Amino acid sequence: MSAKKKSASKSGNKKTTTEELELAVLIPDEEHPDYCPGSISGDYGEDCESSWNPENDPSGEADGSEELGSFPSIPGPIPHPLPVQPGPIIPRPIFPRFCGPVSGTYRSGGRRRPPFAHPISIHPRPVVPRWIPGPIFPINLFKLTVRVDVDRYHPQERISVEATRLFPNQKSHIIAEVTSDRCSGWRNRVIRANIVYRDGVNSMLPGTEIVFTARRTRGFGYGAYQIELRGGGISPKRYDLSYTSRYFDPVEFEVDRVSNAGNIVTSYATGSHPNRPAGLPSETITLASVYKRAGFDAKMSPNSSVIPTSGAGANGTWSDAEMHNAMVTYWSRFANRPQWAMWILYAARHDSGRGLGGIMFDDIGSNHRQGTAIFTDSFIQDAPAGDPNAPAWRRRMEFWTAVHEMGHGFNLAHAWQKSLGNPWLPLANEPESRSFMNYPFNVSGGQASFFSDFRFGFSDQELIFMRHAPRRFVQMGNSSWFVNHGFEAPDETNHTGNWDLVVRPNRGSNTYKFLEPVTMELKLSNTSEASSAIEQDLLEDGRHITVFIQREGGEPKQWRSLMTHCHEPHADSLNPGESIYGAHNISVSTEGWLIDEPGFYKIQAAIDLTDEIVVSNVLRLYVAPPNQDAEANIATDYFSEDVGRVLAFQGAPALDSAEKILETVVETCSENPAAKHARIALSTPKLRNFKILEADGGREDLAIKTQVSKVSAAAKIQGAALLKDPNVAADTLGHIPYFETLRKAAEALEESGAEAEAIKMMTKTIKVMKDRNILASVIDNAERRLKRRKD
Amino acid sequence: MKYEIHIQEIFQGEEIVLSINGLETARFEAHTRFQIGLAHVESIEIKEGDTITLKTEALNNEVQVTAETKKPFLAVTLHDGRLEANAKKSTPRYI
Repeated sequence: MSAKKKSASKSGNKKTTTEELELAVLIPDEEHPDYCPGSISGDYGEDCESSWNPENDPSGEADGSEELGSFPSIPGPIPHPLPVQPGPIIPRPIFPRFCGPVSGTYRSGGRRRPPFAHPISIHPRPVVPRWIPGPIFPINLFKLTVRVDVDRYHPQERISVEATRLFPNQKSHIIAEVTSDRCSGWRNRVIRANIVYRDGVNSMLPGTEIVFTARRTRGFGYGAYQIELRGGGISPKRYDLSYTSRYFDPVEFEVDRVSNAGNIVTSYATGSHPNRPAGLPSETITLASVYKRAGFDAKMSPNSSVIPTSGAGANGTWSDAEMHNAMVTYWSRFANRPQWAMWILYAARHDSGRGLGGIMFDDIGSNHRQGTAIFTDSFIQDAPAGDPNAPAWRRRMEFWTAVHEMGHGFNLAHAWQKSLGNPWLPLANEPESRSFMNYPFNVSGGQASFFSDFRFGFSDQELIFMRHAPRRFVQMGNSSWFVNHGFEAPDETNHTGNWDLVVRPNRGSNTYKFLEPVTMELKLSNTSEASSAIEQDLLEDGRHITVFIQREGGEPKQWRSLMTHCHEPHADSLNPGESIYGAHNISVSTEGWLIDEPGFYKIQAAIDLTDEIVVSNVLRLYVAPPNQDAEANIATDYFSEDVGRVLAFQGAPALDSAEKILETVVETCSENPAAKHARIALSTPKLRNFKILEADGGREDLAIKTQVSKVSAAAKIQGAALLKDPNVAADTLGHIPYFETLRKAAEALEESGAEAEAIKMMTKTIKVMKDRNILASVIDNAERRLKRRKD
Repeated sequence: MKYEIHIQEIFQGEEIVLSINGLETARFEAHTRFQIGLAHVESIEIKEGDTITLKTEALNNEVQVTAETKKPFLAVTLHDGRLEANAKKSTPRYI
């Protein structure tokens, strides 16, 4: 490589001199013999080349598929007579059935943004943004990434699907072998594939077969894509897809060289050495173009740098540790996390000596496979005696070594080691393969035999791995070296760090008694350095949060509030460090009880703030087994939807059967915290004139009846339930519902004229607040309300 | 003369005992680094005709070679529990 331009720049932590790398000069894809442009009217099974190569079709016409039928015959007379003299019969034009390439990546899902105001920075003159309330869209948590591999370069006839559920965090991965690839006329390409590999949560991607469809909608290109999972007795699941890229994943390579590494080779003219396969196109390939043809959207980092020799220490040669240090220092993208990026170092020589031509040195630490090295002063410079073009041989060998080491970065092992270690699936050794991952001098006939038949690519096993294996096996910095090798672990959230969501019981213990409803408190905090406008009721109205509950050993289930509140939007400023709160009975959902049986449960919540989805911690709680026979005896009736409604609504007199069950709980399980919930639910409707819609006589006789309030009696029951053992009551109800219930009881007393009782209840409430160290602002509010009542 | 013993594949922590003319010279654990196919290089001084013995005690397996000055490199592999050794004229190459 000749340095084309030098300039000063910053790479990693050091200022270095940058040099531009040579560009690829490639023949057009459609002219390359290794490129498959698409499908012509055939079933899978026809070699792509034979379906395209006119030499195999002397008639010059494309083969028709037997199953699809032959080309339409010339039509007979036009069925309807023309109003004028009939003209000549014009045959319908016959179009060849050609389907363009579909290989690449497709995606489904994506976030649908709810139309409420998003957090914005508050300027000195805050302006509350106006927005139009509309339907609330749930957070779209399920996404598919589909990789179709049936044409373009070295198609492997595979379709792989990666499913991600953001919350709770679950992944699933399947790979299917194509069994049928039909180009049905002008409009459709339909590809069927049998699932042969699974990883992760199987239930996310059920079935035994995949059907991928690409359909032309307007013009010549495809406009609609769909995938269907079917077979194995499941109801077919269809997902619409959008085309993302012709490649399977992006990757960036950064090349740095040590100053004494000489001229480094990052490109190679395939026609420069006479020992090469007949028919190999003459082109200048580069490190990036090789991996592009392997299926990656490979780019070279602009931060190509020259590194001083001082990093090699006094001996002037490089140890693995010294190279790792250089990577940390000079690689502009170094990070201790998985990423589709790799660092390539050209150095003169390794500590091992001239016998080491290159090494993927990064098998230390927690993030492997991010760095590789090529040693320019090593045996890779030793052209065989009598070689017809020694300079070209050296250039080819150095280029080959670089791609080989980079292949290790993709977790590819040597061709003869495929069955060793922890392969991702059973693999056969390929000791004679003409792949970048095989040593040229190890095959039968040595390097001359190797390069006479080497097309600068990878084996099918290697391509299937790189393109379709679970991405953590392939991605740099992810699976450790040689684990799940192709051989030889949430950033969906777009986490900004500005928000923190906590789900907590806000009590001393995460253990709940059998029958006890679980009240969960949510706390969303502004952890940024700027104020933000936020809808105050975000956590309380039941519409904006998503909660998942999983009994350990069971499937996660989404909690949906039995009540959602629609209200006039009002955004307030939330300063750095401030929080908003919400509390919900999460035992009961629209689909019944989610926390009922004894055992361990995991809870996690998320909220969509438009710019990001903030996910909470995972809370683990325990539900104890029944403490007495009475609890076990009533369980079947208690864990019903109607009882759940009575508890969630804090009273539903129309559901009298459910209310009777709660009365039984009060009578027979009085020491169980569930009894406190029951007392509150049974008494709350009596705090006001409660309207009931009676429909005993049918739709024609609907009537609204009013149950007269019994404020004093109800407040007395609630006072006893909440203030006799305030700590027990607050622990089981949760702070927010506990103090809210007391406030409403005091208000009902005041409205009914029992002001002294109201003041007494509020005074006791404030004492409990102080004893339990409630937020000072909440106590202040309560004291102000009490003062107004007294005045 | 300088002689190099290259412990290559597939070693996963086996202890190797090196003896020259029956006298234990070195003992080391071998872990193959699969990205280059090499576990360990032991450099020794020998004379033409010396008997070099490598043994894995855990597998009760050994291999013996007679040192030749024209082949100063020994490539040692472990397959199916058997040690194999091949003398070479030039240094083994690793990428």
